[in-house]
Amino acid sequence: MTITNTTVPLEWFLALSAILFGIGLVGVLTRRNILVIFMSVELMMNAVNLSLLAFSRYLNSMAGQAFVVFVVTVAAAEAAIGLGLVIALVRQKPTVDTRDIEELKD
Amino acid sequence: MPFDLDFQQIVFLALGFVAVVASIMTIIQSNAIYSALFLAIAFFQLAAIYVLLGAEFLAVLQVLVYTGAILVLFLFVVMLLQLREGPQIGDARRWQAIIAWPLGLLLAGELVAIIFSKDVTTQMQQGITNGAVTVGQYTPANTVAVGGNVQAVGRVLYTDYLYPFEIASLILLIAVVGAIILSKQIEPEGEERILPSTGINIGRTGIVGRKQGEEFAREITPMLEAEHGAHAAGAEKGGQQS
Repeated sequence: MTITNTTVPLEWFLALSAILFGIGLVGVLTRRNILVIFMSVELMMNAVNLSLLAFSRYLNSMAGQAFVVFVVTVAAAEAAIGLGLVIALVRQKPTVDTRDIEELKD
Repeated sequence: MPFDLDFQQIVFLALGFVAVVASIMTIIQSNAIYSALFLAIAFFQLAAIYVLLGAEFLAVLQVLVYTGAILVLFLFVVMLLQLREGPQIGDARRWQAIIAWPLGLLLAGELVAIIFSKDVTTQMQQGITNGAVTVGQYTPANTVAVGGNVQAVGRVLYTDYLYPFEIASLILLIAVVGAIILSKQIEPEGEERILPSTGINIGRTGIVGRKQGEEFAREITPMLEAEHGAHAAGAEKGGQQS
């Protein structure tokens, strides 16, 4: 097994992470479909995972990778619960548009 | 510098470019199925970048859990619901999109500008030399020495992070129970199910609850008393006291 050091600078990984996080944030703010909002949240989580792994690599620490394992676990749990909520919501009112879901507003 | 790229940097730029384009397509597609498929492309690019970072285990986890489980679940729900999003243009709250796009891109631009202007690598090196930043023991050579990335992650996960790991399993258990309860079909009214051999109505759920239990006890006690006399009543009394 050969040992190779990555030649890509740390800043590049962090910049990609920041760009993906920004795109995910725009998705959360602009979209009206509750499923696409969920997907944007998943994208933001992945951006954070990327920066955790980049720092883990450059600091020779496995703690970042352990954190990413937990983030993935929580993301899976969140997706299961979130999609269950969406299905329960659609059963009450057949829409996934957040503009139509305003029962708790008043 | 811009045209003096080695192989890894070219691979990173290609993967990163596709990831960014796929992410943008995810949030501008009006059809949620296309959004999910573009998100799958972005996740695959990120998995490849994880391999580039030497995190092979997390790359496999990314493909298995994110694209294999979460996104398939998303696609499943999108196709199950069969709902189309309304038109994006002519929206009464379109001002929100007009504000959100520049703000989101400004945030990303600011972050990128800070990352490059502050020179993170140099600051990290300074922190390592003056002791402010702790460097772990898992250099590439040490990772190979313990057997590889999977072994290294396992060692950390089952020693330093054992307690969080157990809590993570509890979170997954709660999520499973919650998802089952949330997506449980509520059965229509009027259906009654009779528990065999007792004639007791256990309702629509089929679960014997407290009410049914009390009813059962009321019906069964005289029978038992008749059959066993004072012996059964005494045993029940003793059972209540304990």
